[in-house]
Amino acid sequence: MPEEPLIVAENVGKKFCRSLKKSLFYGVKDIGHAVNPFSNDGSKWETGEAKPPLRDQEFWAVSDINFSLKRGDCLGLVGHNGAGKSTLLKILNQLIKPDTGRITMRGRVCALIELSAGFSPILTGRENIYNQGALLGISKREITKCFDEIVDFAEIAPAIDTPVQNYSSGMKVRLGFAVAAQLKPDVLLLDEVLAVGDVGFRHKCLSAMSNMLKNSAVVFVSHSMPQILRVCNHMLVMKKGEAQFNGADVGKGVETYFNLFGSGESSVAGSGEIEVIEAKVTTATDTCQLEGNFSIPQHGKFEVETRIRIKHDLPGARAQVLFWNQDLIPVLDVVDRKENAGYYFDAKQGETTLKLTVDSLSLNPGRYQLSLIFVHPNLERTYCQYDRAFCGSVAGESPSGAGVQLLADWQSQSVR
Amino acid sequence: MIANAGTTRELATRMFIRDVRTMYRQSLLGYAWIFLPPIANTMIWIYLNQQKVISVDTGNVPYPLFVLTGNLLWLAFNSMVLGVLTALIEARTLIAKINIPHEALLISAFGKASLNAVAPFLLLFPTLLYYKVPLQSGLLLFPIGLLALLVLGAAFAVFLLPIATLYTDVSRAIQLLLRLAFFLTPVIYPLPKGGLAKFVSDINPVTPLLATARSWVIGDGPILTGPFIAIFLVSIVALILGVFIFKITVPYLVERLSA
Repeated sequence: MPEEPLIVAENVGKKFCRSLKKSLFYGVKDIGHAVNPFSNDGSKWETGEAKPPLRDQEFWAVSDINFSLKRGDCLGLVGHNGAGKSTLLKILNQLIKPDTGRITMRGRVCALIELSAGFSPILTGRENIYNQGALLGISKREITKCFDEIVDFAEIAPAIDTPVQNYSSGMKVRLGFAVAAQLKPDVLLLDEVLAVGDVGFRHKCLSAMSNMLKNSAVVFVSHSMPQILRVCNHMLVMKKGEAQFNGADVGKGVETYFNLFGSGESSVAGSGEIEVIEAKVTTATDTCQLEGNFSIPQHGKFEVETRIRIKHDLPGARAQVLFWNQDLIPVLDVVDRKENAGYYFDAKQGETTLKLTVDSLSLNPGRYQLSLIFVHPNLERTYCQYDRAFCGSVAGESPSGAGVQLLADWQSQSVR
Repeated sequence: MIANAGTTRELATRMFIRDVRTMYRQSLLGYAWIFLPPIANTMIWIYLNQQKVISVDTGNVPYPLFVLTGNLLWLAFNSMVLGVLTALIEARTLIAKINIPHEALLISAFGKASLNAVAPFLLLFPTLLYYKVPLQSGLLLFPIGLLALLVLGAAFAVFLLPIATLYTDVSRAIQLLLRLAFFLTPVIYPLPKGGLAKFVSDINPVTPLLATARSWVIGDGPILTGPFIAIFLVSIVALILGVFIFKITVPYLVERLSA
């Protein structure tokens, strides 16, 4: 018999109001309806047959969200700021009621959302551990049993009897997470809690989380696509409260997410002693001019031809092409094979053409922005940095969290 | 509500302890602050009465004892109303982020207000001894009188809690009202014998509870058994109903507080 899902969301929707005064007034009305035992508009809204009308100044912050997760499933919930992710998490956490549809949960629910929300600043770390435990539903006895473990995990032993108001924000997050890590939830809601804290602690959190992940159904809100690709087997991309993508193909989901954003503006920086007049990309399947878009098969051939104008004689120049991923992290710097640095050329006044050839572009499938960069040979000055000179999308089958997929030679031999 | 009674009780206890500890941690006099306001308030009335600025006739009962008892009883009602009324606002960041059994907030607020209400009564016993008031059976009934005042205050505040959480007007109005009600209730003077003052005092639900409880302590004064029992029972029913309504409304309040 297949296991029953731990979270089922059906037609979940939530309205919000833009104006405070109106919002408060609607709140009074809603409460009136809720406590009135003779009003039962709710039932047809709950099944999703009908939607309540939008009142003045209201909008759907979340609408028509459906999914169901079993133990071991992980849903990646992404979208730009204000897309309704946090609202959806609040509904899932049963802090607020949905206006349409319903949520069914089985087992113990735990939300790792703003872990330090329950701390009293004036009490010591020790006292706050017990308080936080009570808030999360852990008994005093259980806390006493694993108290040392919590302090060890948070690495705050010397500060345990100091008021929490004197803790750094990182220390508070550590303490909050250390207490929450003691939970054995069936349903886990995660909201980028790991964004704070140093690298060492983030590693610790990730391993504590992966233990939780195995035994629970997880909803994971993040802006980090590599993390989503690593842990999620289902993805929900939200835009203005609606599901833009909802499915098991996480790679496709990541692509949808990145397509939500415009690719940005081109910009030119530097001293201006070198100016790009013309540039052209050629790939096996496509070609494009400066500030255009091109597509390229993974591991395909890639060529750039550039014509530049040099204002006056320069003591030489180096050229390189930089690839940025969608998170605006530079992932690939194309330099010269002989120089092991940017390609060096004599920069005499007038026009010069340059040609770059890459036999196999080993970037992972995804979208990239390219910058053309011309610098002084000793890097003491940038002549020209042309950002987003091109936009490229690499097409391929196997997206992974890494930036580059390097083709290399493997060998194996069985040893008896 | 019943299923997680254990966790609720534990959480309520933790919150109560937390709040009591935080209340005076950043202070030198600490818990003395529970006693100072009623002492000061009583002193000023004793002073005014002694200087004949006002003149209150309390018959055979020494005025200081009369006004101290009245003040302590009023304070009990007052601190329950204000304590419960701010329970959700104080916890707003918490309830917007962590899913907790919300009854725990109420229980802890009841506990905190009761502590603030009951502790000052320690002042009463030395005063009773000082004025050589004979200890009589009424003193045993007195805790019921105090409880009735607390329940009335709690019921009143729980009913207003949802609307008070949305609109700050309510808390402000209630604070103002309580300050006026202090003078309109026979706290520092005995039950009025006639006129408008008698009418106002008669329709005031606090009057029978406060006057009766005071009579039980001092052993002298009116015992309004009928109204006392009626108001006590109505408050108990109202409090239970109010808690259920509170339970239903919290998600709607969270939505408006944190949207």
